[in-house]
Amino acid sequence: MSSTPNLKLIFVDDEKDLGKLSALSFRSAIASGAIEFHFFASAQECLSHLSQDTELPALVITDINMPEVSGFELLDKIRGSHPNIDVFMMSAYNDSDSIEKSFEKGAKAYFTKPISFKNIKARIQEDYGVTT
Amino acid sequence: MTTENHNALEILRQLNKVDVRLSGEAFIKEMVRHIAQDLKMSYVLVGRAVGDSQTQIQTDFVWSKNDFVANISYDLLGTPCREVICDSRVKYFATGVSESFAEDKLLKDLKVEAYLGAPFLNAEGRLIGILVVMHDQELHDLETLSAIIDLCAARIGVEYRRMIYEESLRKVNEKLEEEVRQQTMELRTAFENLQRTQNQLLSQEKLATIGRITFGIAHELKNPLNVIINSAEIIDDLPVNDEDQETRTQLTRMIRKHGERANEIISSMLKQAREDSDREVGQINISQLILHSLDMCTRSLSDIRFKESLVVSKNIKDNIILTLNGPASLERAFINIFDNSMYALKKKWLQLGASSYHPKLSVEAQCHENKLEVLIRDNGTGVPDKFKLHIFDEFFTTKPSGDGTGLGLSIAKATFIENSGDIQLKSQEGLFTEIRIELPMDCAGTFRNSIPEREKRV
Repeated sequence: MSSTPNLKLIFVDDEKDLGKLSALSFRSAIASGAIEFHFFASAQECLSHLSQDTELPALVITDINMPEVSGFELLDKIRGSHPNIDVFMMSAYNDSDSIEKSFEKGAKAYFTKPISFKNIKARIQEDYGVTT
Repeated sequence: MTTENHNALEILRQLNKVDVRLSGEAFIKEMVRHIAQDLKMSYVLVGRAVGDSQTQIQTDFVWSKNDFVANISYDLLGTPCREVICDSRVKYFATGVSESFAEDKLLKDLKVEAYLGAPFLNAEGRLIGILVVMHDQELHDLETLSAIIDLCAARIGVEYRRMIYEESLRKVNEKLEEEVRQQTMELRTAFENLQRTQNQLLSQEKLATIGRITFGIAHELKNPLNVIINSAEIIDDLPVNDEDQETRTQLTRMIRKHGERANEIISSMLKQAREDSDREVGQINISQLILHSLDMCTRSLSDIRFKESLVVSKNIKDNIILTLNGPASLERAFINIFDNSMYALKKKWLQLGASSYHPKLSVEAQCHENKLEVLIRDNGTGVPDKFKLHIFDEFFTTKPSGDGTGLGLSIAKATFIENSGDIQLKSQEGLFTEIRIELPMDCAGTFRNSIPEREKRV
């Protein structure tokens, strides 16, 4: 119990209810302190959080299709200013174009909607050794 | 009985009294009566030469003593008629004709003494028939009489020719009528087929529009489904105790909410697929209709890179209410126009590349005096001058086969015209296309408040 690694995780989706859902899905890991969870309903909110003098997250999971600033732009900006932060993409589009584009831009994973939290959790376990 | 007793001129004058209004059979009949009565002849007959080599006579009129009698037919052989016909000119026998033609039983039976016959011919000089006058006494001054009979035969011949022409004319007419009837029937069948095909094409076009739109919008369903599926998954994992009751309620509320949202997305697609049962005139918020059509088009873009680079600017006056018929067809008209813009923008975007070209679509809707003006402008490929004349024609398309039916804009135009409006195109090839739509507004009650803002999500 003592050596549980702490993972700061940010979720970005313009669907606010997905924020509630992910918080519920990760609730035990949040309760145990295994992850620090943040949700933002827009890329701008996420960027302004990153620009504050806080601890940077290890992972941002973002939707692609968002009004004003898209997930791709968010990905570009994070890769540009914080290359150590990993980014997972989520989208209803499952065409090879947006998947390839995501990886070209440096995304670490791509999940098509409807997403499976089980898959995301498994990936987090695999990449960060954090059981959620 | 001779013409000496008559003045030849007087006879001709009498004969000429045959009613000029008569023609054909009626004229000939009257002529025959006059010949018999004015010339005081026992027998008058008019007959046609029939049979393969015209060796028989079939009479059409026979006058005997005081009246017309039944027609007869007889062989020419051994008759004075044969001589008339063979020589093709008037012949007469002043007396003793029955003895001269002993084989001719008819002459004998009728006790015919004198005979005069004159042929009548068709325009080519071929024999048509014969006029015969016979008398039971000897005749004198046959020169004058035969001249008169010749004249009468010629006149009768004219009527026969007229009848022959009329008959052939009637046959030609009949044939023509039959042909016209046949052609009309063929045309009607062709027209019916065409109508059927047209209806099929119209519904195909409608389905094509719906297809293009729904294909893209199907993605939209994934967002609410995402919430619903994951909510259900979390409920499954919840431990069965009362502490989590609030979480459970929260999740079921989300499932319901997103279920309704999915339903709304499907309803808006189905609205398009519905048959045009909404033909009745009604008040329509055209501002929302335009926004909704535009929204459906942008949502349906499947190329996410293109979608990202596209800049859509909207300047649509809020809540313009128009009295129009068929909102679904009107919405399809706008979708088709937006769809064309997207097509032209994407084509140019693919040609020029994302770095050097920024696709733009602007939509304006403003009220001017008594009409609504909608301007839809894109900086896409534009329309070449040579196509501008035909752009609203049915089945005109420049898209590759399978990409378009060529009906979108023609149906759009018909829809606007049906609503007393108009649609015009302005374009410069390679630079822009501008579609201008005008719809009439009624002066009163064109604005309405408190219409909820549409959920905005691109």
